[in-house]
Parts: sequence; structure tokens; C-alpha cells
Amino acid sequence: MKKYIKYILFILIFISGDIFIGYVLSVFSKKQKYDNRIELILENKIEADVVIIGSSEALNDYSPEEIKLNTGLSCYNLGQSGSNPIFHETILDLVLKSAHKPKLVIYNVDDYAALYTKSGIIFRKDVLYPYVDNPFICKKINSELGKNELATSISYTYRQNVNFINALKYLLFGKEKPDARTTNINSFGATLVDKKGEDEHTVFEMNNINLSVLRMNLDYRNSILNIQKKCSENNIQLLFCLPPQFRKSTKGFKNRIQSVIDSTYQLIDYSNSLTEAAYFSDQEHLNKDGATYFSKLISADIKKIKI
Amino acid sequence: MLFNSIQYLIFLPLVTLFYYVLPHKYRWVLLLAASCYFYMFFVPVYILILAFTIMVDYLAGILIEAAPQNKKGIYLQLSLVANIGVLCVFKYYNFFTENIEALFQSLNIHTYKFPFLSILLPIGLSFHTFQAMSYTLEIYKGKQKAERHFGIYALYVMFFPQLVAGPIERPQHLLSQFYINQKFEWSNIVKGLRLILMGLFKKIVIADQINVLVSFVFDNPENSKGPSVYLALLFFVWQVYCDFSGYSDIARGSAKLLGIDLMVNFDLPFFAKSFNSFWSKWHVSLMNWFRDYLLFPLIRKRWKWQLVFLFVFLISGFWHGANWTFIAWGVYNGIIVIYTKATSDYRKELINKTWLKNYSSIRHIIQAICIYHLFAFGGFFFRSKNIHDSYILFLNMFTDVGDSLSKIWHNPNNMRQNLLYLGTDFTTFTVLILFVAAFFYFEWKLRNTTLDEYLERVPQVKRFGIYFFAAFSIMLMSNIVETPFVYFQF
Repeated sequence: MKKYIKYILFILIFISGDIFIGYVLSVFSKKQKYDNRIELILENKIEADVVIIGSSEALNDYSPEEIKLNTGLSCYNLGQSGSNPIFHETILDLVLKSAHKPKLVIYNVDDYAALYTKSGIIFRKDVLYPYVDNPFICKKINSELGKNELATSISYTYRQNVNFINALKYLLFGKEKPDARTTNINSFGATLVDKKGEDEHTVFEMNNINLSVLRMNLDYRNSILNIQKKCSENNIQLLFCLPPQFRKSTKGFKNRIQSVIDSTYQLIDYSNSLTEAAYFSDQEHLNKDGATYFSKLISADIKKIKI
Repeated sequence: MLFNSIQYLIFLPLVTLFYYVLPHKYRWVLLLAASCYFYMFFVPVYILILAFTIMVDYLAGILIEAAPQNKKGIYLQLSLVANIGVLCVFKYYNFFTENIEALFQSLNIHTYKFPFLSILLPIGLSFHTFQAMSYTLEIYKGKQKAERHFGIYALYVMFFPQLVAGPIERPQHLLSQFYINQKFEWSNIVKGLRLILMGLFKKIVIADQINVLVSFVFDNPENSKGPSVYLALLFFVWQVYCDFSGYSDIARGSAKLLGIDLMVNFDLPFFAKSFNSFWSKWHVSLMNWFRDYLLFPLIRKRWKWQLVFLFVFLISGFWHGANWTFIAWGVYNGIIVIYTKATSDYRKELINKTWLKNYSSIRHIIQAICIYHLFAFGGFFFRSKNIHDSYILFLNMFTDVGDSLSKIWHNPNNMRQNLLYLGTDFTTFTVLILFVAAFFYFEWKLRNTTLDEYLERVPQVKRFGIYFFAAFSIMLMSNIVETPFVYFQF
């Protein structure tokens, strides 16, 4: 009898430990993150008419505050640095699952990373890690990491183990310090870069990239198609934008992306609309002044859309 | 099926349960079926290769035993040719043909273009082929009777815990255990689970995490300089040790659950006192195989011992893979073994003349550090994709050392992340170092005892504390796609 009690006690302590460690990881990893926009989506706290989706260009180039000022529509930026179209589709999925659906989605198209694999542009699963308790996010992370569904549903620690290092960082160093270009999120979700580009601005060519159909990332293409389909099914307007660039556009990319976009949706090319170096923080990203100016431009086009 | 997969965590308890429920006479059927299922989880069709070698060696065993003394050798040779033939076709064919072509091309001789064999290497081929060969060799030597029960013999080759990465068992040790009616014993379950826990800890918590750091350097040989290369080499030792000994522990633990003992494959090699004794503690089952079937026969044939060691290590390197890097690795180790063996007395005399003779513990620590480094430098060959990469990394280890150390110290543009943390960050790197230190401390505690003896001896609270620590560490660190064991490729 004593032996059995010992084993039952062992199992009970193990289960308690599993729940406790998982809980600690969950809480600390959320506290460690400076950028909490995913949490805001999950808690239905984003009530915007216009939502901006994309990678770092989306995050840095669009000022939702300026768009709101010019259009009267509330706006929120959900751009994420270094993210690919598959991640953008996931963000849209989360938005669509929340209580407040937007009226318009602005999808910022990265030249050429929207359709082609580019180093450093990935599915930003790390951004989703702290919210792994959400069943949809949990499923996404499991499939990305090859984690077993059954085991994640049984063990809280195993489910939360992706947050181990971040939880530890919170314990050791507290909340992460925001990065001026990637995570310094303002109340509208955007990261507007104050500094003007420190580098010499030289217009460089991007014409030598091989944009053959064979090299196209089909998963990216499918995600862009899915974004259109999902917006259509939810009666959400969708606007594709090629943002201003301080470099020449990749030859043939515009035609390639146009072929993926349904004719009912509009692709607006702003790539040559700003040419002064003072508006850019580097070759591909606008600074705060540039973002403000560009947001005025795009606001004028938003006004033309029937929302 | 990988040992570090959820599938195996379901498969193993089910097999164990049915094993003890079934009457003894049907257990071999269960184990054979389970082994087939386990193997077919990788590439199902490769089971035909196994079936071929099993049939050949089964018949060869009976024929060798029945044949008169002067005919035994013929059957043995036929069996060896069949086994080595399979190895040559599936593992070495492309290596040989590519090198023959390259040789002729370098001599400007136009030759026949050999077709490239575009197939995956059957998993664990070198392991089960060597195990099968040890069966016929032992019968030939008269140390083992031929197995008449085909199913039991097939199980000897295919027994799932050691099918794909050893330990390479001998028939005297393993075959007889299949005839024992194993009764369910709680102690076997506890001992088996302890070994599995230890193996998973080594694999998931240490080897898989270190793999990220090591790959950061070895996958970018041109950009890796100075201390980064040195650190990666030191880490690689832990990776390969924890990966392979972890596998062996899980294999032994899995077999123990079924009441079957497999041999110890790693006997705390880094606590050895010489490079020679290191090799008697590292991958014991393979080194014993080479000792019994290659080294001793060659010494008996009066080959020079230096040549014998060099040859055995060269073959051992080639056994690991059809690549010049493995051959170079084998030769490197052979040369070090010959050197340490030849200078053993001289070094002893030298030590006796210094103050070190009175401090055996300090001497042991120095010996361990030397052995660790000698083995680590072999990693240049073992881990690199080709000889050119090994060469680049070797040169780069001595390039920009001062500059790199200065950058590590001053950390401009967060360069410490690449140079010291090998692509990770401070927290991840520190966690890993702490896990390695904890594991090293545990191994140190085990140096004069066994895992079971140690765990039985410590207070219950501490014992369960160790279980919890290991289990939760595994759960915390297993957040990546299951990484195949390094030795699966052999």
C-alpha cells in the first residue's frame, strides 16, 4: 500500500510540476515581450477599420495615426519585421477570428520577397510563441516545429517549452528593450523610425534577380491567394501596395505579383512616389517623415475605395 | 522510427505490454514483427536487404557448422563476401566509382562513366551487417553453435533496440537471451526507464542543442575564425558523445524493459587515463569487433603492431562513412594511438621526474584534458563535409585569434553573439553550458559505480529530484523537430 501511495504521490507531484512550470513560462514570456500586438488581437482589443499587414516595410512605412487623420477611419499596423506571406496569412487569420473585423486590409507587397525566398524573411513563429495557449497558434507552432499534437495537449510544460529561454530572460533581465526599427511599437502598432538614414543613399539596381516562375515560392503564392479569398469571404476590402523604395524595383516583379492578384483587387505602385533621401532610413524603409508623407498619399487612395 | 519520437514512446510500452502478456513461445514472433515495423518506418523496401543478409548468414551458419574443417572457410568467405558486398553496393559504390573516375581524369585517361547509384543509404546498414558477420565468424571459430530457429536468428539481427545503431552484439550474448522465459520484474522496468531517461537527456537536452552551435561553425567554414572554431570543436565532442551514448542508453533501456541485457557501449570514455584506454571505452562494441576479427588475426600473422593499428583505425574510419573525411579521421586516430603507445614508457618516466608524480588527481585531470583535445581535433575531419572544409577550418582556427578575442571582450555590433555564443544568445548559451556542466558532474559521480548503484544509494528525495530534473529538462528542451541520431547515417 505504501508503495502505491509513493507512486501516486510521484505522479501527482509530476502533474503539478508540469502545470506550474508551464504556467510560469506562459506568464513570464508574455511579460518579456515589448511588442504585445498579438495579445491585443487575441483579447479583441484591436478595433480598427483599416489593418495593415506585411513585413518590416509595412511596420515602418505606414503611419496609422496619419491615415486616421486623413480618412477618418481608425487604423492599426500589424506589420512584422522579417516575416513572409505565410506569416501574414496567419496574422489575417487571427484578425478574422477576433471579435472586430476590419473594413479594409492593406497588404504591403515586398519586392521580391512576397513571391520569392529571400534570406532573413521567415515565418516568425517566435512572435507567436508566448500565445501558444491559443489552439489556433498552438496548431501552427506544432506544424512548424514538428511537435506532437497529442503531447502538447497533454503536457503544459511541453506545450510552453518554446517560451523557456524568453521566460528565463525575463527572470534575469526583465522586459526586453524595444529595438528602434523592429519592436518599438507605438499605440497604433507602427514602428516609425526617427533617424534619417546614416548610410550614404545610393540607388542600387535590383534587376539581376532571377524571377522565373520556376523559382517562385509556391507556398508564398498560395498564401497571397488565400489572403484574397479570406478577405472576399468576409466582405473585407483588400488593397495591395508596393511601398516607396530608394532603389530600383526588381525587373519584372510588378508583373509577376500582378498575375497573382485577382482583378477585383487593386495593386497600387508607390515605389517611385518618394525619391528624396531624407524620407528614407535605408534603401528599403521609410523614416518617420517618409511614413507620414506616404500615409497621406495612401489616405487619398483609401478615400476612393467604397468602404 | 526514432527513439526520440512520440511514436516510439507509444510503440515501446505497447511492445513491452504484449511481450509480458504473451506466452514465451510466441514472444519471438512479437519482437520480430515489432522490429520489422520499427525498421520499415524509415524506408520499407530496405527490409529486403536485411532479409537477404539474414538468409545468407542463417544458411552459412548451418553450413559452416556442418562442413568438415577444410571446407568451413569457403562458406565463411561466401558469407563475408555477401555481407561486405551489400555494404559495398549500398554504402561505398558511389565513393569508389567517383574516385576511380577522378583518378583517371587527373591522369587524362578517358574511361567508362560509371552510373551513379541514386539511393539512400539503408539505415544502420554497417551495424547490422557487422552483427551478422560476427555470427558466422563465431561459428567458424567454434565459439557458437549455428542457430536452427530461423525466427530467433532473424531476431538476433533485427532486434529493434539495437537494429539501427548498435551496440553490435555477439551471438553468445544476445541469442541465448531470446530463449530465456523472461518474467515480469519491476526492477527491470525501473532500470530500463532510468537508462531511457538518461539517454533522452543526453540526446535532447545536450546533443540536439549543441548541434545548433556546432553547425553554425561547420556549415560556414569560410566565415568561422579563431576561438569560434576551437569552441565548436570542443562542443562537437559533447554532441557526438551525448548523441551516440544517448542512443546506446535508450537501446539498452528498451531491451532491459523486456528483460534483455545489451552490452555497455560507452564506459565514461573521457575519464580514461590514456588515449589507448579511451578507445577501449568509446563505442566498445565496434572496437571489440575490430579487435577480435581484425587486430588480433593481423597480429597473429606477425604484422608490425604499428601497421596493424594504423590499418584497423583506417578501416574503422571507413566503416563510419564513404568519405575521405572519415578515412582521414581514422588515420588521425591511428597515428595518435601509435604515438601514445610508443611513448607510453617515456612519458611515464618523464612524469616521475616532475612534481606531478605525487598528485594523481591533477595528473588525471591533465590526462582527461589532453584526451578530450586529441579526440576533439579529430572533429575537423569527422564533422566537416569534405577535406577542403576541414583544411579551411583548421587554418581558420589560427586566423584572427587576437582580433576575435578582442571582439569577444569589447562586443562591437554584438559580435560576441557569433564569436562566442556561436549564433545563439547569452541566455541560450549559458543554459546549455549549465546543462553540460550538470551532466558532466553526474558522470563524474558515476565514474566508480553504475547508474543503478548510484541511484539506489542516494536518498529517495534526491533520486526523485534527479528523475524530475531529467524529465522536465527533456520536456523543456524538446522544442525542435526530432533530430536523427548522428550514427544513423553509418
